Amino acid sequence: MNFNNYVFAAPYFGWLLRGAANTVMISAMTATLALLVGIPVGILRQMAPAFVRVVLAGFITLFRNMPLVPFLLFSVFVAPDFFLQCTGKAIPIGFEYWLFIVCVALNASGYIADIVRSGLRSIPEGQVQAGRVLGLSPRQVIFRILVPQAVRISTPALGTRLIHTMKNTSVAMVLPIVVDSLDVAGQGARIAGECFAWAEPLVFAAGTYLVFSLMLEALLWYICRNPLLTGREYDAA
Amino acid sequence: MTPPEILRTLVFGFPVIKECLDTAWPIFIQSLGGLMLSFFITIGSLIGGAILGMILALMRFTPVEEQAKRFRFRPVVLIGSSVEWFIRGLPIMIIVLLFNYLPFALFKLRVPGAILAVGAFSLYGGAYFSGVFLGGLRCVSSDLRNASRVLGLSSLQTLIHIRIPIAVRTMLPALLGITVTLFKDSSVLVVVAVPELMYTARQMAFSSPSDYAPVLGTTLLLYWIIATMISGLARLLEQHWDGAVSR
Repeated sequence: MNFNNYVFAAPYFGWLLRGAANTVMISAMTATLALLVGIPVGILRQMAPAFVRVVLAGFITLFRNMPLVPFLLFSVFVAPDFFLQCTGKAIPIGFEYWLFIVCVALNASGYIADIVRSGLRSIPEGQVQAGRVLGLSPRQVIFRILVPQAVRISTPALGTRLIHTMKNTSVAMVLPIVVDSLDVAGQGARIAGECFAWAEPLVFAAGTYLVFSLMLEALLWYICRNPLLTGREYDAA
Repeated sequence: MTPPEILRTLVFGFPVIKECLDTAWPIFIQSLGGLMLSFFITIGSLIGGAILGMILALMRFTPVEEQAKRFRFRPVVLIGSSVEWFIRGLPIMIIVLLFNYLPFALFKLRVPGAILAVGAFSLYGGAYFSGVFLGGLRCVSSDLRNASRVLGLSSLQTLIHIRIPIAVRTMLPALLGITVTLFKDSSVLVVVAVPELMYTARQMAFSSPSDYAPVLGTTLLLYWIIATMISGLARLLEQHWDGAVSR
């Protein structure tokens, strides 16, 4: 183990730092996209008309049971052919990066949809009926009764899933992504490709992930003890 | 390649070269390939993860009667929790890579990749198992135990007829969920050249570029079908036992 030569040396440390910054960026984009897709899917899966619910159930099953690595390899290596046949043009360079973000986000959105849905399902039917009897409109029932409680119930699980998504971005290394936009694990593999030293950059990358997940866990803990979110559900925790 | 050939190679892997096997380690594991190796790694890491998870859960377990008391410093609980936190904080990709490269970097030890993979996934599964086992240990309330003792069951009978059935019913769907995760995540072994399903598929696709779509598509379908079958089984069990747990 020689950290001075392979981690804290001239080009390598810069690569790793840039990789860490890229991990933050990729995770932020993936999380945003996953929430944007997952939350509406989860809500509609619970409340939309029957045929929409069947389609969305298919969507959730499809992406929840899809392993990430085969999904990424399939889309990255089959997409160029498909694109060529559809549009007659070659796919632009650097598409793998965006395809990677979309695939990881879709994978996470299946889980997020299920979390949102279980948050909605956990509210007893009686509360909706009681709200209607008391004279609230359906819209008011949704925004005054269902949504506040569902948000409260599903926030911890959503946060855990987003931390998991952050860790999942480390599979970028299996794809032919431009080296400058690789994440920290990918930069570790790049150093290993240059000088056959796997262990040292990997230990650095592992430390980075531990620090990131510790920070996100602290943030989640802080969010969950916000007075707006602490209902009786969290008194025990 | 014809479709039957593609499927056969994906399921059983490439033929093994006898000279490449390391005779110091079991030959059986090294001669597996393709989907069969994925299954072997999943099952091996289920067993290893269950053992590790039980140890971690027992370290972290504090009986319900003691939870009401004021906070006491318990080093064993602290060690168990931090080991679990440490493993959960790392992506499986990093765990797999560390398991593959650290033994040689630290101890100059050469171990076949498949065995290291089972070790890495046992560690990963163990962290998730420990949470499930902890839930299983806690879910039988002391009232229920006391009631069964009052009704005249011995403590062994209480264990067999009351505690284990309830714990199993609580834990089994979650355990199947972890099994699905382990099976799906075994595809990251593609980066360390363990010849499981994804690695076999990638080598096949890259050696004949005209087969990209059929080979990678079949692989994706195989993973998806098996994962869906296991999670469907978990859902069936959950529905079958719905409501029977808390009574």
